[in-house]
Amino acid sequence: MSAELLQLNFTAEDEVTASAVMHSSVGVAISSLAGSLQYANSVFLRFFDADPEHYVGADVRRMTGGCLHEDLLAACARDDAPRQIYVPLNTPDGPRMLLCTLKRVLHGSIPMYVSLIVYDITEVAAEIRERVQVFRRMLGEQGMQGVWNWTMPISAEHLGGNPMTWMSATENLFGTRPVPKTFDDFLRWMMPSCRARVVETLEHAIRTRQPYSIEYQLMASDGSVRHMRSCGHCIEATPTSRPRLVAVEVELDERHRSRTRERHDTLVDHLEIPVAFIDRRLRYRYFNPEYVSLASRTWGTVPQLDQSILSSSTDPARIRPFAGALQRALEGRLSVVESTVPGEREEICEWTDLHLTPIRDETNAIKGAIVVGIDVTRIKHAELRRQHLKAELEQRLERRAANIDAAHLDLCNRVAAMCDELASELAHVKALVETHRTDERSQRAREALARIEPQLQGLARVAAASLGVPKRRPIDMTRLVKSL
Amino acid sequence: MTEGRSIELDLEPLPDALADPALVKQIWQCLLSNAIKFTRSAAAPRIRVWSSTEDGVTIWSIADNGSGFDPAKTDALFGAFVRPRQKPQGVGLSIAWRAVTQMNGWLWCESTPGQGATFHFTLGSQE
Repeated sequence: MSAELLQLNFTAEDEVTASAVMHSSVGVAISSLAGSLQYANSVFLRFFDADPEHYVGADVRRMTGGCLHEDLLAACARDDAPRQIYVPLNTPDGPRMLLCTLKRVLHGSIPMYVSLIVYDITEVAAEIRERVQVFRRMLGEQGMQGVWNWTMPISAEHLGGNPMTWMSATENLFGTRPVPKTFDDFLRWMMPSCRARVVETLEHAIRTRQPYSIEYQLMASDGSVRHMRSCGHCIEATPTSRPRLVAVEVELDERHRSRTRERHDTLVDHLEIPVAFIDRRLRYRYFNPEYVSLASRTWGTVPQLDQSILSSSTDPARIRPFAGALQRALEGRLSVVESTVPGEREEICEWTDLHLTPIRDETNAIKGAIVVGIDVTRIKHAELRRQHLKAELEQRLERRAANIDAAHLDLCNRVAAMCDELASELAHVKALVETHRTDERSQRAREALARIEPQLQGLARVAAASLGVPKRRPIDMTRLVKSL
Repeated sequence: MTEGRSIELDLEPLPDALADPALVKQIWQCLLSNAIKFTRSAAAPRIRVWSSTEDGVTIWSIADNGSGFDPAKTDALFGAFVRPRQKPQGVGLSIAWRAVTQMNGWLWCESTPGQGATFHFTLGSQE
């Protein structure tokens, strides 16, 4: 147990109780203390005899292992400085830990007495030990999470000359290079453009005793640039002690990547769209539950991680189109490949649209592909139904158009025949009229014909116009002429 | 249509066309009817049907060895009730002409009196 930890918890003497005070014998006091430890945390006593041997009995030596005896002798014999010793004590209730402070008190130059203050620190020590363990565990965990801390006593006038103490896992941050011993060393890790800003911020924090937070960029030993955030504050244990800067360094990149990865995994796992990652050897590196469902419905097999799609039990003839498209995507010949894979299950025909996108690493080399599948069975079925209905409708329209055409043609022929007949009759009448030109009735007939003829010509034009707007269809001319 | 007469029909293989079947049928019907009608006087009536291509345009032709007509009356040939030949003329050619023009085509003819007539037509952009 270090002295530093004990100092944190024993700074006042207010808790000193007097249960064993004024006992004239240290041995009695210690014995009394051992018996009353469950009631009191500490004792304070004085003894006046210059020979402490007289006061320390054999039982006390046995209980304390002799350490108190030796220190007591030293305190009485040599110096006036307070001495702190930790005394393990065996009591009927179990082992205890005592903290004893010994000091020889002088009156002028004459030693008057030795004061002994005894603290029972058993519970406190146990709690501190537990906290230290928790603290060390947290230090390890925070290092893994991209968080490091350091402390720097401010003694040198120049900030950069102050020594820094980093937590043990700091090599994760700095790589293989040595951990910076001073703040100047630490500054050398930073991007030059950040150094002045960081120094100014820390000096302000020390001057004002205010917490600080600043982001900067760090150059790791592998050449990578890491984005960091430094948060800390300047503390002083006592008004007279030296200030100390305590800070935490958080690697934003790693935390950001970690959060992104976590969000990505959560997102993909809960996606309702089937997604899989495949490496260059066509092995599944990842797939979500939806993809498993899709694959089982499409190919009748359940994919396995680290298994090549070609080594699965799927029928090669059915998996080949997918593998081919995937291979093209991996070769970088196409950035996005769409492939429709028809399933062939007995009860239902499944259709899947697969979108393949290559994944590239930092050097732009393709290291795999993302497969996003969409079950388009319902869309395909709807499309097939639409095509079927369209074909049926076109057939019906064609039949109806043929009927209309036939009726139209028949009507035209009848109109043409009537026109022919009328023309023949008209020619006959004209001939008769010409034959009997002098006849008065012929004259009237000629006049009547002159009136009727334009109307008949109009009838012919109507007959021609009734042919309507021409349509456009392929015609077998030879067959058409033969049919006539 | 042949009025019980025996007419030799020389029909060469014709290419397919893309046009209005009703109108095309009407055109052929009119021209064949016209050819049959004016081969009555021929000792050995004969009608020839063929096609040719000029500048990418298909020309459909029909020729007969009938009485023919006076080329001077060609302009009035396709009007209704025009009689370019000796016998009364109906509206057949007029309808054929209108059908052809409706499909943006052309209909024209050539003839020597006593040696028959030849009608040509195109189907314009409808082909």
